[in-house]
Amino acid sequence: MMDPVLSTSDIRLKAHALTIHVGRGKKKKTILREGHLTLYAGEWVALIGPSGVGKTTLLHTLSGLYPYEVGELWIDGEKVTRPSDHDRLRIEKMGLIFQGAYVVSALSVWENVALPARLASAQFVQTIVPTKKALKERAHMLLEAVGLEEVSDQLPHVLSFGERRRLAIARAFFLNPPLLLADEPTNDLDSDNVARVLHLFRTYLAQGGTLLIATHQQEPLDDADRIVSLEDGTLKT
Amino acid sequence: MADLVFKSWLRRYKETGLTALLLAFVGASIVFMLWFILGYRQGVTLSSERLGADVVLFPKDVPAEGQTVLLSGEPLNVYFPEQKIRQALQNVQGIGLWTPQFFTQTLNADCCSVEGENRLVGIDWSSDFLVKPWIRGSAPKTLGPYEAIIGSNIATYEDNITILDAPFHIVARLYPTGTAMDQTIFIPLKTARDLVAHSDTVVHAWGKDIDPYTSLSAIFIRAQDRYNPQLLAYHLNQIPDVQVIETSDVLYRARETFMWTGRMLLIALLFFTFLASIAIYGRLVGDVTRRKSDFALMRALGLTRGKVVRWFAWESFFTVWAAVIMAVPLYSWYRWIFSRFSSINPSQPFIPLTLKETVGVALTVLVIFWIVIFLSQLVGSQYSKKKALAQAFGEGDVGS
Repeated sequence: MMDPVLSTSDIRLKAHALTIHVGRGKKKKTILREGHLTLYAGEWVALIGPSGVGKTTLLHTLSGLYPYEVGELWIDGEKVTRPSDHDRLRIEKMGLIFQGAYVVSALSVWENVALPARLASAQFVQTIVPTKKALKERAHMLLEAVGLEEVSDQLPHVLSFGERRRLAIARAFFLNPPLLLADEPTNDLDSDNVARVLHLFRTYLAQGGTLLIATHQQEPLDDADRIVSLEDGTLKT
Repeated sequence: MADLVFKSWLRRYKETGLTALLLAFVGASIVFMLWFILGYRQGVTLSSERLGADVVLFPKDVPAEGQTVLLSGEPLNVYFPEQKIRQALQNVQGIGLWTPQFFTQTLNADCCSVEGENRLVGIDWSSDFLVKPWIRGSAPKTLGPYEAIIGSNIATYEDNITILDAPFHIVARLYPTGTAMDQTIFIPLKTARDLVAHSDTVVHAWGKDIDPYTSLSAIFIRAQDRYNPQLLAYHLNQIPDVQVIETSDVLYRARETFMWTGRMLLIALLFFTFLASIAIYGRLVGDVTRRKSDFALMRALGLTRGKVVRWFAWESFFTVWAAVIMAVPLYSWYRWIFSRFSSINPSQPFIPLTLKETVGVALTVLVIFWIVIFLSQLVGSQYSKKKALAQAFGEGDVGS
């Protein structure tokens, strides 16, 4: 019999009875105990919780950067069975905005934005940016959307932390992912740029994207369809 | 991916340039040392294998060391009466072949149209067994009065040369021997005597009481098959007016020198290579570790383990070839210094490696250091294993 979850085409991510630990021995800590989470297409879900509770670790686990011990995970209808599958799904189905505004220091701003296309499989990238010209155009289009067009040819060391964060946001959209996992994306941004980024998120959702955003700030919460709280190893809606 | 790696490599030109410079210095030094050791070994081996004569007769009381006579291009104006020694040789047992030589003087650009300082030696072509085996191509059947054969180190731009105002035609050139032959011009014995007798230039070497037409400088002798050369040398020592140099002794001493010097050099080379490898390893591991945020991010964005390997394969490729470009002038400089020293002291057997052999040595060193660099970078990238990568993100180690 077909799993009803898999037959539901608008589910972008489903975590079933997921258990995550960090540390070892006496320092072992449970981040999530048999947690359930479902994200639907076009949905904006905010993940909140006190600092250090494990929001970042949860996002890393969902994206395959950190292992879970027990549970099942589906991404865009595909069940994750092996770490290599998870890697592929992260690259092809997810956009990641890390808490730190990480950039490759030796690549220019636009090259950083286009980086996912240079690292993913050529066959997959071909469906999004078929030519080098298209790749560069898309990078500049995204930089314009986050207000960094003027510095596109500069190296990242000239950017402020807020500008780096916007660069990282532009990069997360590059491969047009159906699911975006954002870890405190509006930190370090002034109010104008917060508004700019939130507008970008709304546009993304309107086009059918799904957003899971971990945050401590109020503005992203205002736009959220649903707020999920991580506390004491459980996810509460 | 190669273009991405190249951009990243080029934009870090201070770090990558310094690494390439370090590699260039290490690589050029190692290649030069190997070139020297192998050239020296080749010289000793060739000298001992193909010198041809077991013993050499020289006039008695001449302060000539065997090393100087056989291995250097230094002039020796020494003579003994030909007829007397020829008669004495008739009664010596164990002689297989023998051939006389007549030394004239050291030539230079003042008297001749050849560059550098060279020896001019008269040989008896019919009995010669020393020069013939070294001729490039086929040996001429005869050696005409004004025909010459030149050693491998003698630079000439054409086949017609002038020696002591006489025109000579070069009919053959020799392979390198690692001996005095490399700096020698061989002409017929009679012509050499004529030149000495009639040339105004040749004055300082000749006393009034020496007649070139009845004198010889040396007789090279090969023992009969299975006849003990040392026993032959013993018999020859009984002849008055001559001294006997056993070539095996000379080459034994040269080999001993090489064994000691070569071994010391080899140990120094191994030690240097070991230290250099550690320095390169440390530098590259440090370089990759400094960039761990870059690699952590790229791993998260799709740089698989296989692509990390490819990344470092390309990066090490660029570094190695930049080092090669820097190493070429450095190596040339080493060779220039060596040529200055060797021209001052040519008494050591040395056959320089051919260009092809030198390139082969350089390529071997290049491949070895390419592997060292590549493995160092891979070791440095171990942190980017999946779990450690996520922990790095989680703990905030990455970025900034």
